[in-house]
Amino acid sequence: MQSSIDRRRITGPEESFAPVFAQDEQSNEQQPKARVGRTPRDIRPIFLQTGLITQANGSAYIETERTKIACAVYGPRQLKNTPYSDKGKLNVEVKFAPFSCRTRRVPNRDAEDRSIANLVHQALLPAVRLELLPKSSLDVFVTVLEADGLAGCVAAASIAASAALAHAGVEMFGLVTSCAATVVENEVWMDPDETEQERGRGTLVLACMPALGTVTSAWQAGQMSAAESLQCMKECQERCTDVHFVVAKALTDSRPAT
Amino acid sequence: MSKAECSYVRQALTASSPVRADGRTLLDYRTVSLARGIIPLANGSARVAIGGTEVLASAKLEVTDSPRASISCNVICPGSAYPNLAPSALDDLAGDYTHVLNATFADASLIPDNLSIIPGKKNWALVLDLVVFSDAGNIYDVLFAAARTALVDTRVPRTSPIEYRAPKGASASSMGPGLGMGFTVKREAPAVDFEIKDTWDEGAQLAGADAWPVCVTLNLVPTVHFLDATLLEEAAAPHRMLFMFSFPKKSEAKLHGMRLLGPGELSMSQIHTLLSDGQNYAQKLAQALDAQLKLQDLSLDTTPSAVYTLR
Repeated sequence: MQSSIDRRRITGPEESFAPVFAQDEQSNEQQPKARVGRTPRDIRPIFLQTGLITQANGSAYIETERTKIACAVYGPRQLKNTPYSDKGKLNVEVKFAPFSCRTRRVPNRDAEDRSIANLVHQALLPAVRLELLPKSSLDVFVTVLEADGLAGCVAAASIAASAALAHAGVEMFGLVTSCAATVVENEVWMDPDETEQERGRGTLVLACMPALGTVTSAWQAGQMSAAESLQCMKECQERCTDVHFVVAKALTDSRPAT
Repeated sequence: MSKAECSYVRQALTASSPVRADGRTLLDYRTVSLARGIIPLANGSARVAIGGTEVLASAKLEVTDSPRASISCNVICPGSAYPNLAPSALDDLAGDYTHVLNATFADASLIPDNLSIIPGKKNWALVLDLVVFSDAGNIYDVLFAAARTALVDTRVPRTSPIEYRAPKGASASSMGPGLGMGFTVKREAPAVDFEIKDTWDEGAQLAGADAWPVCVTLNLVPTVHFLDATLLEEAAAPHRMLFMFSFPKKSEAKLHGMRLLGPGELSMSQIHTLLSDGQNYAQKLAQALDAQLKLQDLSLDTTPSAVYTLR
């Protein structure tokens, strides 16, 4: 079988690899034992503002150091083609911008987008009063502009989505806030970034409603003992209460003056 | 599922003496059946059925050039198992199950030692494929049980590294005037290739057989929790919590994964009790699966042809 080799041109290699920077190789060798820049209990400062996307019914933008996420809520909209359902439908779609990670991400939807969307959906589902929206759908679109660690991304996306839903005026039982924790050696580090999450042996993301004191979503991956996971959850719940103040303040600040 | 049916099921579960449609108690599992080594071409395989839910798992090993060994899972939901779903919904469902399995099994600390061929150069990549034959509820427990059994059943062909050496005539001085004048040439690691000593159906058992996690799903209704739900019970009580525990012999139990699914909230004290109860149930399930594996009575160090004559 004749292979179609183009002899007129200089063809490059078939496979290509992302460049490895010498700086990265060096930093991998000297890793300090203690956490750099924060105490283990600190979360990164959150900047949250609503009303970024004027076309949407509700929107929010969240920024925590190197994680930047924009969220837009469209709804409640009528469900035209599906049969009658007495409860509303909550659709969450997450999209990573191609420039959001170290290596370029293909703009097509892939399995990782859907898995993050499922986690954000689970965080929001118990909070939204869908029984008040029959035959309607609520569409939440999350766009990740810069991602620094998957767990931090999921937590920030849940916070942004909840703020956007509140900004849209959707009735909820309470604001959902979320926090991530990772276990590094034997310490619990809150709100890990990408390098810290890789160092850790287990990560936990908790979403809860601090106003009601209940947990809406708990996701854990990696290895930890049951006692460590309970400790992570307890710390996450305390941080979620702190984040709740930030979200509530951002929402009250954004109310238009009457 | 109509509202009346769901309310009927929930009332029966939360009654003072709970009743389930098939007469089980709240914590009873349906009949668990397990078969291992059923796919001749796979390095490891298993078929697990709990009640009407049946999953077939196969483990295949491939050689990769990546610096580390890896385990990846892939779940296939065919239309025969879910006749009411559209193809796009089937893909989404399979993707969701794949993600839950990968989040647990792809963890770097679970990868056993004998998956490396030439450290840093050539490693085995284990690909676990699971096919859902039928789903009658409690699919996550069956998926993890099948994956775990297929991994225990996996045999890794033994390899030995091969070193290439330059022929005796060539030496540094014959290569030219430049070399031999104080240049230090970096000596590369000698082993660059390997040979496989076993045939395709022989090999060493995959290490770390007691470290694979088992999954237990606790279905939640407002006052109680129950195990091994049927499809009707899952529709009536969609709120559930998944725990993946492993019980290695030499250390304490480890939590490999946890997930809350469905519309419902939990308080922290409820999570405390669910976690400790979940660990107990997972331990019993792991013991039951291990007991079934022993009943299959396959000696792992002999070749399958020798086992046939032993029988």
